[in-house]
Amino acid sequence: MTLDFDDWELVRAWRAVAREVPGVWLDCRVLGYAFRAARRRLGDAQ
Amino acid sequence: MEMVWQPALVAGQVPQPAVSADDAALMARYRDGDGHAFETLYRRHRAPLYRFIARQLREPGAADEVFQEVWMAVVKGRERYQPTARFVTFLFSIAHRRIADRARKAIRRAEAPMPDDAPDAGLSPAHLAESAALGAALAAALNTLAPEQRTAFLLRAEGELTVEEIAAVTGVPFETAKSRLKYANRALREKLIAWK
Repeated sequence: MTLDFDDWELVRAWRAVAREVPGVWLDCRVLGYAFRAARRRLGDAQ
Repeated sequence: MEMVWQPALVAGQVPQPAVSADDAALMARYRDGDGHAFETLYRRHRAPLYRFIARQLREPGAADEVFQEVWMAVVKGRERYQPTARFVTFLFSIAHRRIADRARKAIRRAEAPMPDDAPDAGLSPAHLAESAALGAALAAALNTLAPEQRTAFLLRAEGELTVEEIAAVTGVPFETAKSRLKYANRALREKLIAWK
């Protein structure tokens, strides 16, 4: 794998190798919080 | 009977009607109580945002905490959100402020190694090894940058922000943001010369 490092190739190279993602538990915490807030909003509107 | 919450992301489904909606429209729908609109927004931006945070905070668990705080701030601020800038700029601005707050409070950050990249099942072992090596080289090079240069590069690479947006997020003039990005790219090129 060789690279010609113009600015966008650096970005593309980074995107090709950077694969960290939040864990499932973190997804659940954030989405659970968001959905609870949405439900409260709907409850308030009724 | 209480409605059972089953986010599509976790359930492996995709809420189709929201996929093509733009971010501002999704925020408006979420403000009105549509949880799935938030989920679409979250799914769209979670990985770049997480990497933006994780590459700037080295304390174990810090990235998870800040990531969660950022999204909670989005939830809490949904009523006040005005689409005067792209949502991604709004999102990364919150993250940038939280990271800066944390950096100010930290007396000394441990030089902990970054987590390994997750393997990609779609690549051959040889490509994976090469990709992992390049990833490690890029991560190491990124860690040697001045914090403001690293932030500029990550805002560009992960947030796809323009120079104007990077300037807005980091609170500096356009020329400063442009200069930081330029020096970050130059330094990364020099560090990665072996890959050329």
